[in-house]
Amino acid sequence: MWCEDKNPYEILGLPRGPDTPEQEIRKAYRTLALRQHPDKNPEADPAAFLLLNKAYELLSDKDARLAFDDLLRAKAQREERLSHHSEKRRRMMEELEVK
Amino acid sequence: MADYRRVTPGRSQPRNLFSVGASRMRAVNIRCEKVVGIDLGTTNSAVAAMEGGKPTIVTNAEGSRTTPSVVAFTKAGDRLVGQIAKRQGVVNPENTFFSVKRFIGRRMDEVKEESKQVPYQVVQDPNGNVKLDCPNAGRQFAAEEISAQVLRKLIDDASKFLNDKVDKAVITVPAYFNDSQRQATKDSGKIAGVEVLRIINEPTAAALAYGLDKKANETILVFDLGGGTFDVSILEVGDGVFEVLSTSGDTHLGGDDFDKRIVDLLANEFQQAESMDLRNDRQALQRLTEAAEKAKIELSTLPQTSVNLPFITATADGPKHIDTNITKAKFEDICSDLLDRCRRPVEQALKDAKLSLSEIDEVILVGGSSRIPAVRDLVQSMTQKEPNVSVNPDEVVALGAAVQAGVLAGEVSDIVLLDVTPLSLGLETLGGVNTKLITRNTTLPTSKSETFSTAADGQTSVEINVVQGEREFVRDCKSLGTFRLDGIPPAPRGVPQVEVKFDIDANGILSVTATDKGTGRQQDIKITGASTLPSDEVDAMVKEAEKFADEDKAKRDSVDTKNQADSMVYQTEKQLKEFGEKIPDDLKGKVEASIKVLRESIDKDDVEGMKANMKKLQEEAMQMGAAMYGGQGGPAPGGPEGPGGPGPQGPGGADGKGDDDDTVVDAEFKDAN
Repeated sequence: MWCEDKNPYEILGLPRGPDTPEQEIRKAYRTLALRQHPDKNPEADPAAFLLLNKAYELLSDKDARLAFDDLLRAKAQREERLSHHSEKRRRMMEELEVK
Repeated sequence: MADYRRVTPGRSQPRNLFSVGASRMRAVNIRCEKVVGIDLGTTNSAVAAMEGGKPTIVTNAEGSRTTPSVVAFTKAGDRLVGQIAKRQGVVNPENTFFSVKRFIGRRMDEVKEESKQVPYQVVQDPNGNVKLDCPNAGRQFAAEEISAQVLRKLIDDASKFLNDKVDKAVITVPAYFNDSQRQATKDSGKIAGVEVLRIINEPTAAALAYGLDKKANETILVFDLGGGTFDVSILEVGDGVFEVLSTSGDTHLGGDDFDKRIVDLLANEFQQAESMDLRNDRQALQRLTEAAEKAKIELSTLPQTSVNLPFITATADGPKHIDTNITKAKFEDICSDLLDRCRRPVEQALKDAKLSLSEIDEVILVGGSSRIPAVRDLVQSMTQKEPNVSVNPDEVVALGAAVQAGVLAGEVSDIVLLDVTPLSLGLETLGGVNTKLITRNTTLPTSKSETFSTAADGQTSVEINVVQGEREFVRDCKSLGTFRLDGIPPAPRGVPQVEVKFDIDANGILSVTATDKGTGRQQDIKITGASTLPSDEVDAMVKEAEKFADEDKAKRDSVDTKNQADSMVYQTEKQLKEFGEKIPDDLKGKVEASIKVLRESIDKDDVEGMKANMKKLQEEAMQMGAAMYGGQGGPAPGGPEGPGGPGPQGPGGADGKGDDDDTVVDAEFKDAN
């Protein structure tokens, strides 16, 4: 149900990600809802409000949020490892070129 | 049976994610015409509008704050709406339509029970939808048309009260209304010539009115037991956001059912004593129903009430009467199962909101039936909380609708309502299974796409049965209709890919669009088997209602003209008598002749003649005024226009004054801008 390429924390404008307290998530959702709901802003892209709702739905569900946070952490670790890899690979390539 | 296959759970990929914030600061539009909020109730309706930033109830032409949702057609062919219609219900039961909200947007097989309880004839049309038979009008009406008559009266009265044009409205419906019932309510508005800006849920509206001035965060439970429906909604309110967490209800439970229990009690007692069933006598049934409602209301404050219905019927032995007492305990006893039915939706709503009772801060009672002490006791014992009684249960829904009207018109800026869909939306898949696409309590507006393909080689059309409801099998849910996709290019089965998008708008109303993924072409969709009116029928009804309105206007115009002419004749004659000696004889003769001609046209009911003769008489009366003042030595030309013509100017003068008022209003308006 969630589109993996979108981070709900980013959609809600929460830079602290998994460390954001619950209260702040709700506050952010309300502020954005007041701005993006079609009643308040008829010219807005309806998809944005849909996405906002999905993001909030996920983050306000305790279990779903825990699982998502785990996923985020795993992703971060993998990316770190990958960047490490590519660093190594780059060096190897450089060494090869020198030869 | 479904003749299609779901391919993959589709996803809509929204783009332009943050293109929104920039246009946040919009200029607030100031509009001249008012948007009103209407609580279109099963038994009573109310209207409210924003006045000076506060929602205010608009009183009707009779001066009441609520209007009975009753429409009647008399033998003489008149249409009556509201209190006047309700009052004559006893003598005209077959042509007096009440509680039509129970039939709106329904199929006949859904309302078997209700149709037996009303004294008018409920019939089935060829499509299986409900129609109401009216012998006096000599035709059948859709429930939408009857509701439209009520709406028309409410709007007309509101525009008189507000002294402003009213052609836009927010109308409330029970939260548990399905798509067809919402669509039908919207159609009623269209037939009444009103633009329905939004359909909102009654408990949500109540919460809006309640929470308008509240600053703190609160979780509230709204318990709304109306005339014909029961709703429970749980909301979280704070920072100007009214977020509905969950909604539950029962669209077959309301105050009418409590009345019915008393009717049955009285009728059964009578049957035992006289071996005669009063329920078969439409007039007796109507009297019993009215007495039952009165008894129920009295039992809210008294431990016992008496029911007194003389001459309820007659047998070979002579006239029969009902004279009996009902105690509060007896009433609660015969209604105990109805009270029990109020429990489940409360529990369900709490469960769906993932909340426990201790997390509810406030319980608000809405709807006239919430005044029944046993209902209050039930709510209190269930929630362990003293229910909030700071709102008027009959008016709060209309007030909330006015707040939402203000939000949509841009008058109320810092509030947004986030409502939910009360029922899950699904599709029929193989084996009659309800495959849910959008689950209940999803925040609106929302949308979902699904990709379909064909089940056979060369298949060019696909039928999709869209259902609303929570049950696992389609037969237990409400079918919203069958959507047919035509024009699929012939291909082996499973190859064509048609993306069908289901949108539920902020009204809670579904729309469906389909695109062929291969060609990118928009597909045709035909809807069949819906329990709403086809759009061409709605258009025909709109035209007919306009015709009715024109007839009414002509009728009113003729009555008004006649009254005006009458009073002008009287005033002028009085003038002639009082100041006769000051008026030259030739003028006097002219005036007397004109009065005679005007009298004749009044007797003939000739509206155009009356208008023309009134004009003539008025001119002569002015000359008369001039002559009177001239006789006293005043300047003659000043006479006719000045404060001179006291009497005869009366009726004509009223018009002139009206014009003056208008210009004053205009001028003020320009200043304000």
